[in-house]
Amino acid sequence: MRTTIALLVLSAAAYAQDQQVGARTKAMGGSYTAFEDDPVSVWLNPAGIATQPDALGIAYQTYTTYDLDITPSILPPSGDEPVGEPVTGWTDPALIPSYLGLVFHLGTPESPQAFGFCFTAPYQLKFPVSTTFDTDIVGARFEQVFYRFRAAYARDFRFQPAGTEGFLTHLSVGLAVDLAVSRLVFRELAPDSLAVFGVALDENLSDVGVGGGAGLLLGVYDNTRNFKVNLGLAYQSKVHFNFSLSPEFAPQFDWPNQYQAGLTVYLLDGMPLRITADVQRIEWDGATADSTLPDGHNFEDLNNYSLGVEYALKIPSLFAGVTFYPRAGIRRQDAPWQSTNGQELPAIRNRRMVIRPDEEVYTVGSFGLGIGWSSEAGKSRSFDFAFDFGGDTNNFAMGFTLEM
Amino acid sequence: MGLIAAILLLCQQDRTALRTEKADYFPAIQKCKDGEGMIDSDPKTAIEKFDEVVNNPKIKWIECRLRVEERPSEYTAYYAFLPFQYRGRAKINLAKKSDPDIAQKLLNEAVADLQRSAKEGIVEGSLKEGVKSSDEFLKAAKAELEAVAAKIKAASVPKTAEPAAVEPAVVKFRPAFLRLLDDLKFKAARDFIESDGKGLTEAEKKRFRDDAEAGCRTYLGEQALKLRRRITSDIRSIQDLQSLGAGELDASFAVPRPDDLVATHPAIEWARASLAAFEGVRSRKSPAESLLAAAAAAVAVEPDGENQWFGTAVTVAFQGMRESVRGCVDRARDALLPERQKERAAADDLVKKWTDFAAKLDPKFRDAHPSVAAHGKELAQLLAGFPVDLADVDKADLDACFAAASPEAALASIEKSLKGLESGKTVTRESRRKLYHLLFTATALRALVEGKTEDAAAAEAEAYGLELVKAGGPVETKKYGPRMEGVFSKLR
Repeated sequence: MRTTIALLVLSAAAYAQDQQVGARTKAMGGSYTAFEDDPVSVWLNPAGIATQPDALGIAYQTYTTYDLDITPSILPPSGDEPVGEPVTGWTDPALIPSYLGLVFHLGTPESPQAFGFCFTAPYQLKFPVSTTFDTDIVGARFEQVFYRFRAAYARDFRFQPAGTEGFLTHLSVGLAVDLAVSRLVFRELAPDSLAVFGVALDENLSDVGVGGGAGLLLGVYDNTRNFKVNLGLAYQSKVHFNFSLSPEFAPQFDWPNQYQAGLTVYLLDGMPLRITADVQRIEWDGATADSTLPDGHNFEDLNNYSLGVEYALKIPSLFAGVTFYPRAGIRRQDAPWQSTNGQELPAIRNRRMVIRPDEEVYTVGSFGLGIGWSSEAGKSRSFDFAFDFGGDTNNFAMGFTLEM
Repeated sequence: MGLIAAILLLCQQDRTALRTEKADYFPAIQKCKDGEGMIDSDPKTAIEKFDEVVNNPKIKWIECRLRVEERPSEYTAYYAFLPFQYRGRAKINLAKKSDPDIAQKLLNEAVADLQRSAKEGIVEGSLKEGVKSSDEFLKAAKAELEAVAAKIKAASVPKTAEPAAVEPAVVKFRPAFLRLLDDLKFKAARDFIESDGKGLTEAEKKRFRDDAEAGCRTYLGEQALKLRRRITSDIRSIQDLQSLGAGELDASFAVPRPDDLVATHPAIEWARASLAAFEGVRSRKSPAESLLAAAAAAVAVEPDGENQWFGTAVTVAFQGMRESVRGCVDRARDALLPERQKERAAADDLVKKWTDFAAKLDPKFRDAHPSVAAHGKELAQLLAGFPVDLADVDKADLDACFAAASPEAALASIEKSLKGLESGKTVTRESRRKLYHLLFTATALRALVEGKTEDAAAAEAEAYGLELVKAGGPVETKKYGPRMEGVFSKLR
């Protein structure tokens, strides 16, 4: 039973490490750093908004979370441990989108620039942790959600006139300032950390912090007909939260530093295909307090690698004016622990994740479909849908993008 | 010219409009495509469409193969975006349907357009199938121009005259005359014929006078188009008009000075005559209905089809009159009879003004502008908002309740009946006062009959009391004795 819980919790944590938001990014495996045509760039790489027209994007998506299933079977004498079951959940409350972003274009064709504003909710951490006296036993429910409001500015510098062939065609630079909010819920199943008072901790706390982000988007090559390559680099800063509850009593996370690098390759005439590849590094080690257990292990920094493809498909005989965008992606996703041995799993202070994983690396597949069309003035609209699989629950995302 | 030269320098054959420019280029391409389809069938409208494209300062790529980036690296197919060539061709076609003098001017313009287009090096075969180079059309335009010039010349030279004797005077006179026309000094050009055309024959003088008038008419036609575009975009509502400064309104209505003109154009004349009326409404010195006269005058500008001059004036007039009628209705709601009658008369007068205005319009023109009838109907419907008297309130007889077997039940019943009169249409202040006086009295009397105190009775009827106070207070307080008078005294 503990193994089951462990697996589920492992997957929860594994899922939580990727901060992909948006249906299109999910469908393409989470490789998005070199995007330049989606308001989701306000969050993913602020440089990507510099050449975007006025636009709005909104997305809803599910997250894999793990609720303890407390049944009579846990009562003596059978005495099984409580079970964390994987469930597909939404943001809480469900009305909150996982992403809402706006781009306002300011510049001229010769000197494009834009402002962007967004709200995003990329992380939903929810899993059980051990007691303080026995790290094999589930002692508490832990839940932490993260929201971030961002204002971004980006400017594009052209090295070659638009529409002309060449290397190093342009460079976009983006900067952002953020206000981050996190809510921490920690419920002990029985008096533990304050056992001397006979009190089980039941805390619901929130805090805000300030952060930022920056990005670059380089037009590496464009022959304007059938081949174009963009390179994106982005950084999302750590945000420290200072909850009114010591980490000695309850685990808690800061928003981790994240570094991203990505390529987008466009194959155009005759093969309207877009290929994306990304590498992301997320520094979970610095986002948590160190373990104080004698054999304790800390959360590890981790790397994710992803690939995505998007094809533009037009069927004018059946759907005049509509473009379909079938998409697929794959992601190799590290777990933030070194070993699958339950006693070597990471702990925050004296509470270990009570799990017994059988993988240190997850492979998540995804696919999706976008349905795009344009207004009479040529303004694009699209509905996007995405599914992924390979984790403990399949997840779903949907989004709408509107050029204004 | 500098701008055009700059545009031309920028132009090459294949161009890409970026995503951030597509909102400008998609409509421009659509206009070009629409106009292209009308070059033969309706060249005049086609020219208007091409004018809009070439006069749009946001359109920098012109006379080229153009594609538009819909999404990153997703482009539309290339389109032969040649508004100068298309406009030149439309002018050639329009010239074929025009008098020789106008045809000559149109062909001169067509030559200029096609020269601009040809200068970009659009070579036959480099564009989509079926699109020819501008050179070919340029040759055709020049040939047409020569033919028209010869025709004019032949018509102006008396058959008996000796060409050798006439030619030198004409040749000497023409350049200075044409310079005046180029400078848009049409009246000076006509005067110049008399002052400096001594060697010209009467026929030649007439031709030059005709040229001056034709040039002036063409110029006024162009100015009228621009004027309409300005007025219809600057003044789409009474709020638009009243948000303009005096200088901005003058700029919207700017028309050529009559001192330089030798012809008239109905739209230009209308604008000149109507500016004062618009200024009056803009500055709020005149009521909106004063624009009805300007609207009626606009009918003559374009008696057939949709008349945008009329549309602008009538829209502003209607919106202002609607606000005035609404104001009358609002003020009448709580007014006493004399003020109410005054407001009603004012509203009726406005509605009548609209009805009279609509009735005087030609039925065919009115049918082409259905908004006139719709606006009239809307104004008339607003009158329904004036308060009305409640006839039934006078039928209520509280005294009779005391003769009933159960006065409490009778008072409760009459209260219910009166309450039924409460909802529905807007009621005059007098009727509301009567109604709430009766409701308050009936409720309080019932409470007293049931043995309650005066305070309790007043509390029970409090809701009606509040309305009664708003409507003017009790009609009389002593009729039902001192206890009831005591209840009335608690009204606030």
